[in-house]
Amino acid sequence: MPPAPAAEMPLAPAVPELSELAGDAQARRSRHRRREARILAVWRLAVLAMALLAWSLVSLATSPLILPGPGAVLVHLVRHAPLILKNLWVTLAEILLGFLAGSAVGIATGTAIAHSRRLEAIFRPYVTTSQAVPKAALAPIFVLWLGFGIGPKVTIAALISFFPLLENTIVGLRRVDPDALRLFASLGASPRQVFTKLRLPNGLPYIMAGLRVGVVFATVGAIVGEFVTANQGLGALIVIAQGNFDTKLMFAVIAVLTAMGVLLYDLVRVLERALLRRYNLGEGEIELHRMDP
Amino acid sequence: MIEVDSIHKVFGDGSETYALRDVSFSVAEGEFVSLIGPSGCGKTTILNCVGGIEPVAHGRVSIDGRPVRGPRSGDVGFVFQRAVLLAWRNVMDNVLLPIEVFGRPTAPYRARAQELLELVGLSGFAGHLPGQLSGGMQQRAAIVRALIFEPRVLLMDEPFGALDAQTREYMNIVLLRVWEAMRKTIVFVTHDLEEAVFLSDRVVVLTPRPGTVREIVPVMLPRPRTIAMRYSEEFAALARRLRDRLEFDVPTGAAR
Repeated sequence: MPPAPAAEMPLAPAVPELSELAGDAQARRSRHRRREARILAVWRLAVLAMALLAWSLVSLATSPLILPGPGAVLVHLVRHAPLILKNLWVTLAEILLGFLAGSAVGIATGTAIAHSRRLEAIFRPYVTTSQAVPKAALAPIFVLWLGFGIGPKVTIAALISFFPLLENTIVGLRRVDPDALRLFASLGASPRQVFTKLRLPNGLPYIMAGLRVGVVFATVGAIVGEFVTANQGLGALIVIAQGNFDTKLMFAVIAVLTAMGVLLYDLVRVLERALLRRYNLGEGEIELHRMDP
Repeated sequence: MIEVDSIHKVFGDGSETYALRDVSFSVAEGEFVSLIGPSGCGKTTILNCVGGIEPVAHGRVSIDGRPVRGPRSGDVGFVFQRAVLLAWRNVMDNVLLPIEVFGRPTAPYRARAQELLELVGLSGFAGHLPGQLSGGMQQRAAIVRALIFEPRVLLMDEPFGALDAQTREYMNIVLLRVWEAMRKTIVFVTHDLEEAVFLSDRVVVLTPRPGTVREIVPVMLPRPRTIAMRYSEEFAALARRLRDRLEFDVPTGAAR
């Protein structure tokens, strides 16, 4: 029997389809990315473990009064959870009230100042100078004025978070493309239209970045306020723990404060991302001459 | 019809230096006129005066016999060197911006916007954000934005100056197609002589600062214009004539 003619042989695709190749490449890339992410996560945990280990070793060599170990702090944290929680609500309330008041006033004032070139020129040096005032140093004065309740803490938190919002609102509303202004002028747009259709969407990313910084600043403000008038709240708890030589409690409270700060920051960040994505806006920069509260 | 009648413009810094001196020219209904001149001679200022976004010190600018005293909504469409699309609005919403500013409902203009986007080759891009478009595409969207409200006059301030040569040539063809379809009166500022010759019915040549009209050169090339005409002798002769009329400030000091 003669072999089947070559022409009838099925033409096996020696070369794969281009789309398959592209799909392969994509799959390989994402596989690679996943592997890379796993490696980084492992390393990150390793760094944490090493830091905790170092902490433990040093704490073994020193008095628990100076440096308690991480395990002891954790046990203490759980044991005193009700006490910490009770004070946490106070501090959280101060932070949120201060943050809301400070950012509302900051955005409103910034909007007013950004509204006219003349107002901005008049206020600019004072805005810049007032940022250099160490706000924490004002805490005793507010206690003098507002007593020992929640008032002075909220005020400090509000004052400190006011500035990033003020600055970022002014910059965001002002920093618009001059050609865009020319376009709006050529259309005979009213100042109100320029504000709502150009300046506000242009400024929103900056304002959101200001909020992100503001909430962290508010946390610092509330704690500083509590340091001055030890009464209740996590800041007060630290001062009391210090008086009782309860170093473990101090560490536990600091850990809780840190967790709270991260959570608040992330909360604003999530809100920011959602809002900016909703309005197709890019990320805003943080516009601050001085980053410290 | 646009009439620019002996306008003067002094720099705002009190130095009493003329930015424009005694500039006069007119543009007929449906005519395409280009302004060329060395940079800083006040081409943009002239456009701003015609568009009513800068006041004139002396003289008069009128559109269809009515003096221009400020931006008249709906009379003039501007196209700038950069597209100036609002980054947070998609192409359709950018195109409809003037309608919104005029306080009219936008719904009746959507179909027209779609037609115009098709005319400039952007039919599938109404929902895209400006950041997703190339420079040339953004500028085409800006042209549609200027045309959506059917202005009597289109003022174009070096609209293709920021684009590469190939894209610019393509944009010239697109613009002529739009102009032939709609017959708008166009005043077009450029620093590109060939572009001016290729597009215009007449070219106004301005002197260096203070800007005055040196000469108005009619371009007698037949319409519709084609790319091939760019290589004709007639075209070259016109471009040469314009180049001769443009005065360059060449430093005369000898190098040491």
